[in-house]
Amino acid sequence: MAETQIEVMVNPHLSEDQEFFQSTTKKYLAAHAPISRVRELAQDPLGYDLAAWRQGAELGWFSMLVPEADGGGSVSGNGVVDLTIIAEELGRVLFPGPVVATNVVAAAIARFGTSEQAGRWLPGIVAGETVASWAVAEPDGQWDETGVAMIAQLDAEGIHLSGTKTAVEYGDSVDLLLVTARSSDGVVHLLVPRDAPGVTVVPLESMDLARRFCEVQFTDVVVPPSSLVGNPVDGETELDSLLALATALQCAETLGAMEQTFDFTLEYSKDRRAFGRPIGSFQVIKHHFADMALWLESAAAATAAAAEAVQIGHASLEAVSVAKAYIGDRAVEVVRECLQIHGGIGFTWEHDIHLFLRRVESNRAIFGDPEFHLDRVAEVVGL
Amino acid sequence: MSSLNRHAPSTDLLQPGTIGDASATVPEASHLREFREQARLWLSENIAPLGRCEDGTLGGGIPRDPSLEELAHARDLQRKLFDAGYSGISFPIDFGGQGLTIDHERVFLEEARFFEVPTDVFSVSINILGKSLVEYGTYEQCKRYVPKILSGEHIWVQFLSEPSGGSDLAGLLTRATRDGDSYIVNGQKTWSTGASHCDFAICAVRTDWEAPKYKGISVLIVDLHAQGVDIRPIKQIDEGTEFCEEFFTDVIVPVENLIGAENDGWRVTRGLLEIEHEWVGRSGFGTNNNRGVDELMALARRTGKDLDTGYRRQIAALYVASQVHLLTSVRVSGAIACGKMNPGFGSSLKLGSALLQHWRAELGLALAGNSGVMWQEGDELSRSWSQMLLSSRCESIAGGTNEVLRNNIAERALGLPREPSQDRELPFNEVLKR
Repeated sequence: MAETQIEVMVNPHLSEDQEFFQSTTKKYLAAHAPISRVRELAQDPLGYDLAAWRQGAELGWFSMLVPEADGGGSVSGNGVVDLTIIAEELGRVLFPGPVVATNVVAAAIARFGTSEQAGRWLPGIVAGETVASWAVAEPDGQWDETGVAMIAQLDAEGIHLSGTKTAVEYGDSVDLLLVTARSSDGVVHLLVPRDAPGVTVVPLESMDLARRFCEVQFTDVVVPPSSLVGNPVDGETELDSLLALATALQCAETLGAMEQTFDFTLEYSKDRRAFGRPIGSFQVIKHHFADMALWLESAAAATAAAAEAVQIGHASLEAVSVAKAYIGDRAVEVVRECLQIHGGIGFTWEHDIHLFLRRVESNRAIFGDPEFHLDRVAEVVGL
Repeated sequence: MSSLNRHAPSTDLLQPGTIGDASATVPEASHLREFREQARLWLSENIAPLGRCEDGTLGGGIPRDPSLEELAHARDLQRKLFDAGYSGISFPIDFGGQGLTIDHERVFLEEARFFEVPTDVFSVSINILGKSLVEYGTYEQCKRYVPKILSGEHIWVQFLSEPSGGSDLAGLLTRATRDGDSYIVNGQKTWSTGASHCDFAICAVRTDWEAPKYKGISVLIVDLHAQGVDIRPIKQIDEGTEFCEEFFTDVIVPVENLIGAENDGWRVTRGLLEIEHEWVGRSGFGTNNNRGVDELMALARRTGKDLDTGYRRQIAALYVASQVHLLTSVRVSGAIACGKMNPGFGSSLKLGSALLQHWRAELGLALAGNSGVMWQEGDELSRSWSQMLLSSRCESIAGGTNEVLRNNIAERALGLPREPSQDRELPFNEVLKR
């Protein structure tokens, strides 16, 4: 009998410091990253605002999971939760750029890497000078260990990598890739400069206009054994914990996108009139909002629990799969419904709502879709 | 800015208007852990553990609809809880409570679910009626009634719905006429849960027929053993008889039993409903007699459906939604208690709980297949799935239909325009002539 239950061990609300940090982040983004920038950046060769990236670094966007010795530091001592505050605000404005991916790579180096690796890469990441991305998924593969087919082979020359990774965020411009592959000793994570010989990047078109994804092909790429992050014996556990971190951050980002869409749609329904009254006075519209308000609170609660579980390194990471299974589907329901409430204007290119729809539909699939996470939950609870 | 004020800070704000109430503060995790250990120890030494059903899941305990014998036993157990400080955990110390937080209360319930505690019998009485008294009653009323509610000596119920209307509660017709130091009450109420074994009711009545419907209502404490009160159980679709109807014939109620001012009863009624929605939403899923997700998993294993991807995912999705509901309850209830969230969001919790209970019952019956709809005499396990389906239908009706809850959330919590109303401003007498 599964009497497991996610125990709520902490106060589910933010501290005063965290609230202050949230409002600072919010103010910065409102001034420097309005949603209109997303459309401009979609046409930009880099695809994100490097100046904003650097300023974000000053605000701590890349320091939360990095030890103070390497130039990092968090607001509350609970870096994952602090980072979800940032991710949620970034989701609200659909901030383009591999913020989540760069943090995942930073966490991998900080948690599993050597002090040489930390000294070499982390200060640059924290300062916003080094941008990184995680190459884990493969075409048609799952996001966990079962999807890792790329072989890493060690010989006298170094570690050889051949194969194809996909869904690599900003793979065409980042400085550093964390490549997850399979060796004879287990799953390995390797630091590979993007400009290493044998690395070919194919930019992909994507539903999400506010983000770039690439396929990255590795043709006998050779890296030194010092590129190995962590230990092959623990490689699978490390993969699980990185996927959990990425998923929890993504949940926060998706939550932000849901909240923003809900908020502007609620305002619209109070202003827009039909049949002589605001459309928000019609019961059918009200009832949709009532359901969505519940889903939003639930998504926030699930995200907080997931962040906490990742922070304390909870063994099963059940809370993360619970959160993604829930938010993956609720987010698309909320944004699709909000588009419907807008009516015709919601179907226009000019209106921003499709940018949010594109984001949440993409996030549903990335880092494991709700079905993938439901299957994990089924196993954890003993089905 | 979000209109939902989602991230409330953990300040130690006391809820205004309450006396010595610490339920508004956020407890330290270490205090909660300590409290949990104490509760666990006390329960194991003082209360019998629940037995196992034939499918290996937890069962037994005191039903929501107890016999007289079971009720006497439940009262003994409740007294034990009260004496040990485990009843009214979040109630003010002045009124027999412990002055702790709703998180302490949750922790105790989590530990107590493995033991034969009479939670279901006293839940409404303590957490809806007792809490409403604390919120809206006078100090004297609280001092007099609340300790006996917490100890189980008196069981309370709310009399709100009438045969002429449930959702349009403010259209109520039960009449209270002032006569010296008393009111004379005549009329009829219905859908009162467990009223046949209750001792007191909080009852909404009309005291001014010239005023508009929302402005002529008063709320009274009615002694159910008084002359002229006739309580009759109603047989439900699941063959239970918890819901009752009541008839009042010249029932004398002392004026001192007024809660709030005369004709200010709609405010009290709304407040009571907010307390009810928040409590039912927080606790309804998980502490009642319904079979849980564990039982569904056991059923899936017996029927081999645990190997079917579709069913596996449905059960996992229900489990996910259940876990998220628990997390959401802690979050929303905590924020409401701190005064950081509109109490209208309490209706969200009840809505979520009702939807989950429907889902759980529907999935249970689907997993049971043929054996869920026909069984040999005495096969209580097979029978339980159809019972659960039938019983679950009340969750989206009792205490506010899902539709009324959604209106509440939209209007009170989200600030959407009110429903147009034909009778809002008219004297109630005029409304009745239409």
